[in-house]
Amino acid sequence: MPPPIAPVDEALLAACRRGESAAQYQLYQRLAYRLLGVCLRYCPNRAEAEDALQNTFVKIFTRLDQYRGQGPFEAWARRIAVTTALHAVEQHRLRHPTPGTDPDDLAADLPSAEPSALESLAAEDLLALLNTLPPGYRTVLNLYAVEGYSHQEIAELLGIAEGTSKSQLARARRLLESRLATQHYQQLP
Amino acid sequence: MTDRTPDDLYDALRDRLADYGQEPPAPLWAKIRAQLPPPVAAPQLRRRRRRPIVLLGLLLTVLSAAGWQLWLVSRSGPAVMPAPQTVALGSNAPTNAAVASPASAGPSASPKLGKAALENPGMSGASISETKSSPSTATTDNLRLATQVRPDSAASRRSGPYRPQPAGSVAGPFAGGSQARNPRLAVLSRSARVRYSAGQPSLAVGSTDSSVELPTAAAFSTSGSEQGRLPVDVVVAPSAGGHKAVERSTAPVFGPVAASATDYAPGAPASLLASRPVAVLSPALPQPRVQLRTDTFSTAPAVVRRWTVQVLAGPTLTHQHLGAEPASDPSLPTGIITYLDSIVNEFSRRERMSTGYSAQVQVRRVLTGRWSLSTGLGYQEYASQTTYVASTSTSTPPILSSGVFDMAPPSPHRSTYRFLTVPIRFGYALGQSGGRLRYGLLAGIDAALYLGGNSAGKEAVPTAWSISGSPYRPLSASVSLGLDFRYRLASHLEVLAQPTATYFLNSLPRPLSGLTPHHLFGAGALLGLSYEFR
Repeated sequence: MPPPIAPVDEALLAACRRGESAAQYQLYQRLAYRLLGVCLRYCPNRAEAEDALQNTFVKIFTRLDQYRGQGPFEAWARRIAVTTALHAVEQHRLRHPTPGTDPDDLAADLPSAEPSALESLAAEDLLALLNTLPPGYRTVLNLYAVEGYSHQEIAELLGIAEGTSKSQLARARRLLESRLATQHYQQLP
Repeated sequence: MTDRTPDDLYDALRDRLADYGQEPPAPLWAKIRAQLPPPVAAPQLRRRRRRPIVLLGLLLTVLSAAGWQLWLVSRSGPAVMPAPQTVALGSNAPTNAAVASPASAGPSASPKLGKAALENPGMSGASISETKSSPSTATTDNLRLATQVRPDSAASRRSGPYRPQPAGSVAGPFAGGSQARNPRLAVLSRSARVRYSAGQPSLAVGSTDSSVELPTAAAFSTSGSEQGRLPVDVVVAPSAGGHKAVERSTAPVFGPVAASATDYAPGAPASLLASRPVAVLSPALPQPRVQLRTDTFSTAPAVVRRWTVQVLAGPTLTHQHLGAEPASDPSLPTGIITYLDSIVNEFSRRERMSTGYSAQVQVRRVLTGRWSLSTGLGYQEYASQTTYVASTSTSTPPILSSGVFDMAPPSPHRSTYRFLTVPIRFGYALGQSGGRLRYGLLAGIDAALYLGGNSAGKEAVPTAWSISGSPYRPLSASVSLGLDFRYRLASHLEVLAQPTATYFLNSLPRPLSGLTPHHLFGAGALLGLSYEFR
């Protein structure tokens, strides 16, 4: 059951800065649901996502004094979740190197799907579909489409060129459409 | 987000996934809580914040007490006036002052006389004459009355009950009022010390350090003999009209003293004596010496002269000295945070010296001839130049990509640390003090209250910090060492130049901030003016 979306008040943050456990738990309950969703979209599996969520909250509580009140607190916490999850992805990639495959081959000669194909998918199915994308594609697609980052910000965040971000996004889109189409055709009678 | 174009697929993805989430497992909170630092109780917070303030107050108190003691010691140095001494016999000598015998006055009389001397430090006509109206009847009250004589009242009393007495009277021709015709002769040094040859017990007159050795009543009773004569150089300054009293005369005048004066002028009528001063010199007799504390009256103006107000400002070259080991928080997980720490530490290592500035308003007190103490309020800005930053984006921290740090192109950034300081400086003057140019050494400590600044925090992003919420200690201490050059422009005004080096004793980041410990230091030249009160 997702908690209602309401801005985090300053009193709760002040109590968290003082280290009050009850306040920290209250903030955790308000943020954990959606932040786990963020981590699940980037991390390769749920265990990695839970570890990323754990590190996210540790960072949130230990660096609350760095929140300047510029913008909603949820957005600040979400950015921490994104960077933490991205770091988890990087660590996972270093620990489990996979043989390189040309992602372009994955999207070649596949039919494209209409955006309405997304409507027929449950969120969990859509997330599972995203997880079939190569990590680089999935990351750029999530950052651009869901988080709303610009290509310049993505480039700075990932340490890649801005053109690389654009090309990876285009390929990710093409691959996602093809997989959506494949899944859509499989569901047709 | 300037390059975004509307896209149905992306919009659909955002609608479906932006608020997507899942319930975290129940044990996750316990894991998170285990990694968080224990909550700090409010009283501990208050105590921790108060401790530096209490220590600072204690330090200020100790320094103030030490300075005050040094000042007192410097003022109590003995100064002996060379003989022969000149003693003026004022007209109010028989009544306005009294010298009690050792038996009658006792120790309690001494402070009162000393107080009287302090109360009349600058009066030109005040006559603090001490006489012995009767060795056996002088009491403490007599002394109190004597010490409370004011210059104006002394003159008015001369015309009354203290008119010249008939010949043979002890006060005789000297009681009709006096005026120091020769002030030079009438001035008695504060360090004068009266000592009689009779070898009688001494009596403290004035302050506790003052001592006037007086003859006994028996010695005074033989007023006509040599023993009873005033064994000092005596200036009899009878007043024609009783206008001005003898200036700063602390002459011990006794009955036998007056008798001895009449012995030198046995046939002189009172009117003659009243019209011209008579000096009686008796070099063959033991010289009187009166030793008074230096704080009785003559040094009172010097107290004011020692205070100065000085205003200083100037540029400083500042930098920071990185600690040997980064601060580590055992409660924080390794991995991401360590990774970010390493970025910040690298960030700090690449910082270079930059220019800050400082301004101070101080009050300076000369403790002794060479030592001085100054304190006040100041403003200090430390700065350092960063040759590159990891990421200048304020929205996203840098992340690890391909196993190496991805740094943005080099761009300069100036980190600043602003402090409100309370400087405490001890100065020691070198060389001769008579010239216009003086110089000396300066050493002291500063209490520095962090006001804010602009520097990189844990996220390796330059951030504008305020007093609260910064990863830095609110209160720090630094030591200073420097030189003090002073050039006197006018009698009250001096130009100052103080090349000073400052080093922070404590690391600026908080222990649990995760930042590399670093100690700020700087060197600069403060220039300013000093106004001396007189």
